[in-house]
Amino acid sequence: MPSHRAQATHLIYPLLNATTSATLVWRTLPSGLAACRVARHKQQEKPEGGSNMRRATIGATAVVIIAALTGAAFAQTTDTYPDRPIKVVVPAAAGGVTDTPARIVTNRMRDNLGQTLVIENQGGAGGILAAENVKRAAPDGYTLLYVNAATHGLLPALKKSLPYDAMKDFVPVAMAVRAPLAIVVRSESPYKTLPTW
Amino acid sequence: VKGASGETKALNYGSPGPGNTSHLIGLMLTQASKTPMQAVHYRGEAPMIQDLISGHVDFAASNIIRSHVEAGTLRVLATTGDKRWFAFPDAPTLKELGYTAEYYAWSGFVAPAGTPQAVVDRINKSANIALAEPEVIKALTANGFEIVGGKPEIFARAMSAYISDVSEIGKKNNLEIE
Repeated sequence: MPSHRAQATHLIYPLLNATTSATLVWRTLPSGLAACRVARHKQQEKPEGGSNMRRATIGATAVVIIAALTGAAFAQTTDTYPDRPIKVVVPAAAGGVTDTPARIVTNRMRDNLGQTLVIENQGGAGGILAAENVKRAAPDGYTLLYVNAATHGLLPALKKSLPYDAMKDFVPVAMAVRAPLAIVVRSESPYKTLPTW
Repeated sequence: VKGASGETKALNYGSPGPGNTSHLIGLMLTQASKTPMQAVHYRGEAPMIQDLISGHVDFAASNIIRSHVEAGTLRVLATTGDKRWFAFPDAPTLKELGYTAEYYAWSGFVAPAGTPQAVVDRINKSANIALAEPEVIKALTANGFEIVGGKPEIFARAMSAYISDVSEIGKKNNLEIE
């Protein structure tokens, strides 16, 4: 039997080289890092037309003051963050491989953030709806998305059209966990190992 | 694999849906093996595992099978990480069996684009503190998870690399999710 197995393994090796690209391992290659994000500043000055120079100047001054006030409020928001509960959208049903670690981790984040993190399960359309909803949420830290390999890996790579861009519409915050998969057969199966196939 | 009459029997493998990690593993094994293999797609993992147990498919890749393995209805042939999975320490990795591929399910936090960096850093710090808590480690490990953590940049790079890896596999296999 050992010789048979060795032969089978040997037959498989040359073919394996063709599948090298299937290495879906976490790695830190310097590729496609979309880290440059511009904060949103939506204040736009549109002085009403007309030749009243003074009015335009007053308008411009008002805009500057508003911008300054907004900036102050913005800074304060960041300094006091978080001052209310944080919603964490899970793009999967309760109790699965995405929801379980999300609950374990957020439950303890409450202790050091001083605010509750509220899990909201939105499993519709394989998590696409959840991602779309969070993409549209205010970028203030009070709505987060707990993503998985489907919403931010497989779907962006393989789905023809997606209502969000995994890298551009979101800013990665923290990887949490990973788990390998097990290749399984039923107990009565004649297969004992992979290479003998 | 020879059937009773001596001809080569095609194998069926379960997949919880086209383009799922389990499907990608099946495609890789199909290319690496001389045995013809056919994917059978289900709507989710639960019906796939039921059909695996009742014998309608020959094998499947999953990470929610622990209770079935402990109950003796399913048997692990290999695991897909870079080292042996502590959940099934007796099962060899694909690497040990001569395959070069690694596959993981993973998860983590993202925020809408435009979220201030200070806020991103605050949540990142909070998540990493939680991930270092012994109770959290214990609970995650009990559920089969490896703790990853790290800076936002690490998640950004890993995500980007993962998407490009899967895109490449998709192109090679003419695989597209409708």
